[in-house]
Amino acid sequence: MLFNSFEFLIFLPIVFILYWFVFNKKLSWQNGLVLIASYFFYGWWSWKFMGLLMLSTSLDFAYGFLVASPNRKKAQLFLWLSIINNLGILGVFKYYNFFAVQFQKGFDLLGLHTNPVLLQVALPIGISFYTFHGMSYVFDIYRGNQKPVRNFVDYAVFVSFFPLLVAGPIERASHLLPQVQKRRFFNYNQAIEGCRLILWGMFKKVVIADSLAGIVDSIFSNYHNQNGFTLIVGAVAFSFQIYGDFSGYSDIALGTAKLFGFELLSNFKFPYFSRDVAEFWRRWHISLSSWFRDYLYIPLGGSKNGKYKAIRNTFIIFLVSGFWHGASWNFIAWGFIHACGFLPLLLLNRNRKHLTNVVAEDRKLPNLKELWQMSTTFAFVTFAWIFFRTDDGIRSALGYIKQIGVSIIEHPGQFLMLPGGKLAFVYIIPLILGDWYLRRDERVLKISTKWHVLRILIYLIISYIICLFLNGSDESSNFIYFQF
Amino acid sequence: MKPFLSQLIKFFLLVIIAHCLMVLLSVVVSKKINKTSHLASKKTNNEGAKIYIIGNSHPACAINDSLLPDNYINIAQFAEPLFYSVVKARKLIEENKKIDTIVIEFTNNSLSTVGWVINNDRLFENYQTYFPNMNFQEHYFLFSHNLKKSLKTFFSLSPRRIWLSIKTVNGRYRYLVRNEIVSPETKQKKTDKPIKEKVEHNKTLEYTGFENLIALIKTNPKIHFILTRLPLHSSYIGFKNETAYQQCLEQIKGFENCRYIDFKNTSLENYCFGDAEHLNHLGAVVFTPIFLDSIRLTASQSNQNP
Repeated sequence: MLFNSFEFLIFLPIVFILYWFVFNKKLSWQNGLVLIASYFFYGWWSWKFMGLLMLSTSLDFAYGFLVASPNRKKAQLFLWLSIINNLGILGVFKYYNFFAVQFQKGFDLLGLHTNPVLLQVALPIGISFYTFHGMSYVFDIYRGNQKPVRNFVDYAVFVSFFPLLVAGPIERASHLLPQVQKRRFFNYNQAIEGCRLILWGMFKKVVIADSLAGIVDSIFSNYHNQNGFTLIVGAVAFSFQIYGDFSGYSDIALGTAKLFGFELLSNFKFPYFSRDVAEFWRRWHISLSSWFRDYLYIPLGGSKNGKYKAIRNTFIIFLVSGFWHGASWNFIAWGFIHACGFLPLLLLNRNRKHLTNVVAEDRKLPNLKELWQMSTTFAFVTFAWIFFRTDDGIRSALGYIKQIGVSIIEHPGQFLMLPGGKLAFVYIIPLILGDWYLRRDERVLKISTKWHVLRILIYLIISYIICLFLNGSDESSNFIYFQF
Repeated sequence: MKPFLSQLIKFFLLVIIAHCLMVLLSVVVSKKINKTSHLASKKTNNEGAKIYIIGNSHPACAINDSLLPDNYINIAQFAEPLFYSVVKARKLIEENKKIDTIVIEFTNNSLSTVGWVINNDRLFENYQTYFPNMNFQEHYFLFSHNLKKSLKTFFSLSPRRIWLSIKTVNGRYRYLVRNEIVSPETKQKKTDKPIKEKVEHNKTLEYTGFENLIALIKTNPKIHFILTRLPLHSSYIGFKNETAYQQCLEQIKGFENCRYIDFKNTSLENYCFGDAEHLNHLGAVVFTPIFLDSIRLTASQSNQNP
C-alpha cells in the first residue's frame, strides 16, 4: 500500500478510529492493532513476503535474548550469527544476482566460463529497512544500551510499524521501543502537527517529485540525444525529484506516526542548504547515515586512530552506504564520489564546522559566501546523483557526463521542448522557498495563529493543488526508495 | 480528540466544497466563453460543418474527410466507446444549431467496449475529456462502476482541463499506413479475446452506450442520425454478438430520424485493410466516395439534401 494511494486514504482513518476509540483501553490492544494494521499494510503489496518479514522479526527477537548473555564469548557468537543471518537475508534477495554475475565476469576474464544460477525473485519491499531495524536492536543489546524486550508484539511493532516499514526512517530500539512500551494518549497538538507533515509530504511527492519524474525520465533514458544544458537540467531536476520523493515519504511517515502518538527520528533537515558535504550528510537520510556512523564507522575506529584508518573508514562507510542502496556499481560509484568529497573536510578537520547552526540563521537571506558554499555543495551532490540515477551502470553515467561537455552551449532551450520541461523549475521553486522559510524551525507549515484564515487558506490551496496533480496512471506512482 | 476530528472533517469538507465550486465555476465560465468556437476552427469556411462523423477508430481510419465536401467533418476518435460518442454528439448538438446529420459508427464492438469506459486505464483520460458534457446518469454510471478511479479523476479536474475539454472536440481522420491483413488469424486472436469476454460477462453493462444513443435520438427529433457499420475484413471474427447486434438494430427501426447503413460487405481488396477491422490510407481513398454516395442516397430517401 502506498501513502499516495486511494487504499491508504481508506486504511488510515479506519486504523486511526479503531486505535483511539476501540483499542484505546489497554496498551497491549493498541500494539496488537498496530501490528495487525502493519502486516495488512505490508501484505497489501505482497502476502508472499510476509513470511520473510515475520521470520526476520522472530529471529532478531530471539537473538536479542541470546546476545544479552552475561557470557561475552557466547554473546559475541550470537551477535555474529545474527549479523550473518540478517546480511544473509539481504544477500540472498538483494545481492546474490549481483555477486553471481561479478564472479561470472571474473571467471570469464580467467578464461573459465561459468553459467551461474540467477534468482528470479522480486526484491521484497522494505527489506533493507526492516533488517537494519533488527540489526540495530541486537547491536544495542550487545553493547548494553538496550535490554531484550519480553513481549514479542512490542518488538514486532518496533520492526514493522507501518509508517516506517517500507522506506524508513530507520529507527533505533532505544528511541522507538520505549514509545511502543508506553501507553499512548491522544495529543491534539501532536495530531495537528502530524496532519501538517502529511500534507507537506504529499505536496512534495505528488506535486514536485511526480511532476519532475516525467522530464527526468525522458532526459536520462535518452541522454545521447540531448544537449549539455538539457542534461544539466535533467540532473538538477533529479536532485529535486529524489528529495521531494524521499523527504515527502519521510514527512508522511513522521506525520502518520504522530497521529498514533509516536515520534519518529527525523530523516531530512533541508539538505540542499548545506554548506559542505559533511553538513549534507548530517541533513540527508539522517537515520541511515547515523546508523552507519554508530554501527560501522565508530566500531571500525572512526577518525580517532590516525589518518590512514580515518581514510579507510570513510571509504568503507560511503561505499557500504552506496551498496546498501542497490546491488550495482553505479551506487558504489555514488558512494565513492561522496567519500572523495567528504575526505578533504575530514583531513583538514573541517567536517564538523557546521554542526548545529543552519544557514543564515539570523538573517532572511544568505550572504555571498554562504550562497557560494551552498551552490558548490549542491553542484557536487547533483553530480553524484547522475551516478545514482543512471540505469546501466557507471558507463552510462560517464556517458551522460561526457555528453554534458560535448554540447553545453548548443540550443540551451532544448529542454523546454521535452514533456514537462517548461514547468520543470516551476515545481522546484516552491520546494526551495518552502524549505528556506522552514529551515530554522522544522515544524512544518506552522504559520502564526494570528493569521488563522490565511493559514487555512494556505492548507486549502496546497490540498487543492495536490488533487490537481493526482496522476491518471492505474497505480499510484511508487516512491523511489521502495526499491532499496 | 473531538476538536481534532471536527477540525479535520471540516477541513476535508472545505476542500471538497472548494473543489466542487471550482469545477462548477470552470464549467460555467468555459461554456460561456467557448461556445461553438471549436467548430469553426475545424473547417476553413468558418461556419461549422453540418454533417459530423463520430465513433471509434473505424471511421477515424476509414473516412478521409479531405475527400468530403466542406460541410462534412470526421471527428471520430481512436478507442472511443459508444458511451462517449453519445456524449460527444450531445455536445455537438448543443453547440451547433446548424447541425443536420450525425453519422455514428455502430458496429459489433460497440456492444463490447464498456471495459473502455469503466476500466482504470481508460477512465481517467476519457472522463477528464468528456466530463463537462456528461449528464447525471452518465456520471452516476461511472461512479457506480469504478468509484475509486472516478473520484480520483474528479478531484484532479483542473480549470485548465475543463477549459480544454469544452474548447476542443477531439478526434480526426487518421492516416493508417500498416497492412497487416496478411496473417489475419494471429491478429484476430488478439483483437477478439477481450470482446468475447466482455459480451459474456457484462451483457447488461455493454448496452449502456446503446441505451444512451437511443435516448439521444429520441430527444433530438430534428437531427438526422445515421448509424453505420464500416467495412470489416472477411477474416474479422468479432461477429459473435451478431444476434444481439441485430436486436439492437430492430430497436432503432421505429425512429424516423434514424437510418442504418451496413458497409460490412463492401467489396474491398486486402490492400485496403490495415487489419481486419480498420481500413488503411489506401482503403480510405477507395471507401470515402462510396461512403459519401451512401450518405447522400440515404439522405435523399429521407427527403434531405445534405
